[in-house]
Amino acid sequence: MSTRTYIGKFEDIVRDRFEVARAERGDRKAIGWISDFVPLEVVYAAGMLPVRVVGTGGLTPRASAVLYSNNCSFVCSYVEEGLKGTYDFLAGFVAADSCMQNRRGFDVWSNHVKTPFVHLLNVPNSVSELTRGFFRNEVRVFKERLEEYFAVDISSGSLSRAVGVYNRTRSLLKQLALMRTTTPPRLSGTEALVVSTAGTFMDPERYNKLLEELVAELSRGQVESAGPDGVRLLLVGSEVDDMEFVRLLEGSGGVVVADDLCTGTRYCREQVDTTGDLLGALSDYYLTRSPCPRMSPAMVRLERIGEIAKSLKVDGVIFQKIKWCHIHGGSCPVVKDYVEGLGLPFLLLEREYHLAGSGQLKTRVEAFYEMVRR
Amino acid sequence: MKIDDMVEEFRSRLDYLQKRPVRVKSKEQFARIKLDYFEEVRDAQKKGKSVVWVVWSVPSEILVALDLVVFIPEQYSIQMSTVSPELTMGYIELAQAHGMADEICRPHQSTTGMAISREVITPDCLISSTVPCDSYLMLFEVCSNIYKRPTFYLHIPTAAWETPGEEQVEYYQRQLEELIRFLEEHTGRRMDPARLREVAEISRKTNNYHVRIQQELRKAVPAPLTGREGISSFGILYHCRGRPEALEYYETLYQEKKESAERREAPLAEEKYRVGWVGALPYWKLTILDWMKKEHNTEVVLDINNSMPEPEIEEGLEPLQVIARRVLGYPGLRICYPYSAWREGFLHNCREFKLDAMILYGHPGCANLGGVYNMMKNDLRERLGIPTLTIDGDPIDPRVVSLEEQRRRIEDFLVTVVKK
Ligand code: SF4
Ligand code: SF4
Repeated sequence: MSTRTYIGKFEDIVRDRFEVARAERGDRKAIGWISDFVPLEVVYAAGMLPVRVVGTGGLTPRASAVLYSNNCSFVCSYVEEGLKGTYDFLAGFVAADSCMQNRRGFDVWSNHVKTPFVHLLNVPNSVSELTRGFFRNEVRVFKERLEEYFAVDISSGSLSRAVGVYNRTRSLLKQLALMRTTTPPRLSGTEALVVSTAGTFMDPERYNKLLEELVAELSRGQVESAGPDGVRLLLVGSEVDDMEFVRLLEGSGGVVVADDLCTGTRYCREQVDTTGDLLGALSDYYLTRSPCPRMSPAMVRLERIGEIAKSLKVDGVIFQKIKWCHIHGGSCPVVKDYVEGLGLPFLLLEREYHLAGSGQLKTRVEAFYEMVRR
Repeated sequence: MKIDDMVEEFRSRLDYLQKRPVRVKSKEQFARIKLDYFEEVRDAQKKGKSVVWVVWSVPSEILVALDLVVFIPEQYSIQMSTVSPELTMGYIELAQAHGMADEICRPHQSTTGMAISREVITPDCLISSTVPCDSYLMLFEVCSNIYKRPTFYLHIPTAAWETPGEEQVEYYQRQLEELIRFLEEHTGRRMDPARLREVAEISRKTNNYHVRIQQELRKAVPAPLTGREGISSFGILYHCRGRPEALEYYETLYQEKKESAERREAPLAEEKYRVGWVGALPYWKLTILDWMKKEHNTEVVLDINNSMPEPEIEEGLEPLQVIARRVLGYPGLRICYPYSAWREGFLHNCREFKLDAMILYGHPGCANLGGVYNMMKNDLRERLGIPTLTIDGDPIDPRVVSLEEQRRRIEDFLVTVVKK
């Protein structure tokens, strides 16, 4: 089987994500989640399937009727699916208030979608002993609510097993991330994103098997290149699970060799420490891992962006934001300042959650590549 | 527009008030506090005082006790928009040219422009906070980056299911201890525990007067203070909590208005409509509230400051406990929490304040409340039979929706929907 055929499997999963999640659930309860601050291991250790709640990118008439004109299209899109009944197979819905839009998305979901169990985790925006303690408590309360509501016991053994499974996922994804960095890359940015997104709708153990096969295939060494050599890009900004967007960037002469996205490699950079108090280590992991812009101070993230850009010799940085995303929209001047200070070209793109108006976007991207090449 | 102009603005307001045939003590006190405050900001660096930029939800008591100058850049930029709109528009353009997205809260765009231009007092350090919103968090990241000054981050624990309990109060209190250490380190000041106790006690008393004004007096029918008085009275609290002049002002205001209420005297004796107003306001034309009163006999008696019950703070608590309780109990802050945390309290006050109608004010830059407007509207209609108008505008930018258009929408609503 060729590498591209392997990738095709992941593409199928992303395309059929709602059906896949329903099927993967089997006899278990499925718990929908929003925001990557939700500790999935706790859900998995409870014998349930965590399923990432996403939208589709179509029109959102139902969501528009209950939200406000300035809610970001990601929130509108997942609320739309909730209201349509796409997620009626969920036994629970868990969110973290990682941004104001998600907090209001949670409000609307709890009120209108009526998934039986709902829970919101409150996440501090900086890391200190105090905030670590706070978030540990948040994770503990979440665990206890799950146990109580569903009458299950989340034992330390099951938690340890769940952490092991997810750590394995992270390590496999990390291996794949490294394969993007060769010249030319073995895996394109689009493919990498397809692969990481697919896992959020599946049982993590089955997903790990697919990842192992893919890693083995790519490691055999006789892999066709993922595409032509292009402008080496670092992609940052709002969440991206729209393959068409990255395809557009790469189809116009770029290659996304690295990203700093919550749906991309930010997820797999670190591992949960398994040597001590597991629940504490788990909450620490979620609070302290590679930060997104809602975590302060910004410098931690900026320095990481700088390290990636330098070590992977990127030619430019594309900062994309979903319209009405205040977290990313507000942080843009700081990132721009920093990236330009490194002497790297910077492009800001505004987009909707799923691609619209691609013609104009393409023109801007091509002009950027031109400028980079000069 | 420089800080000097702001000083002049309040000096002339004070002069005007002092020359009125009927002088109102609380009004003069208010203008005097503002004047003194802007003079203090203007002269801070000359007098060797450290200036700390803060988000409005940061407790100024800590800074007052350390004799630091509190500066709330957003409040300043809003105030500036009322006296110099052209300058505000220029700052917005400057911020956008530096990559700030057009959809960010305009007071934050204007603050960013102000910081980039350096036409404002430079901070020695900054204190950010997770509440009210993401936009504020990002503003402080941007400003911290511009000035390259140390920044402290406060996390407000938001509970989805209940009002903040002792656990949350203690958590916030411990952050305040860290904040004190941070300020001591970066400003060279040392906290005197006796001074902190004194400041916290002043703040507690001030807050209790404020709570009584908001929760007790504005509830009276007819309300003894106008919506504009009720809303504006809050303006000095952000930077003056813990100062004796703030206590004097709120005590005076409370006494004046209580006496009016006892005599059943009110700015609007025949209130045709008692209205709630949630969200921002067009601060650049607060006269819209006067217009509602004059043209439609409508008084705004509820806004975010009294949008849900707020308890008074009892005596005998530790200073930081007083401050933490005060911060976490404030309705203007709790309204940023998940809806489930304040829904019942909100409906309770809407009922108690005998509202005839509700105005929910949205603006493109605010994702804080817009997302729950629909639920509030449904709850008000279904549970209390109160009609709602959702209206767009902007806190500082008249170009978003003109005053005429905003008035027209309010008028249509009052005349055709609320009509009695
Ligand atoms: S796109 Fe931005 S505003 Fe929307 S949910 Fe994500 S972080 Fe929040
Ligand atoms: S108006 Fe909204 S966006 Fe602006 S500061 Fe207030 S809560 Fe934040």
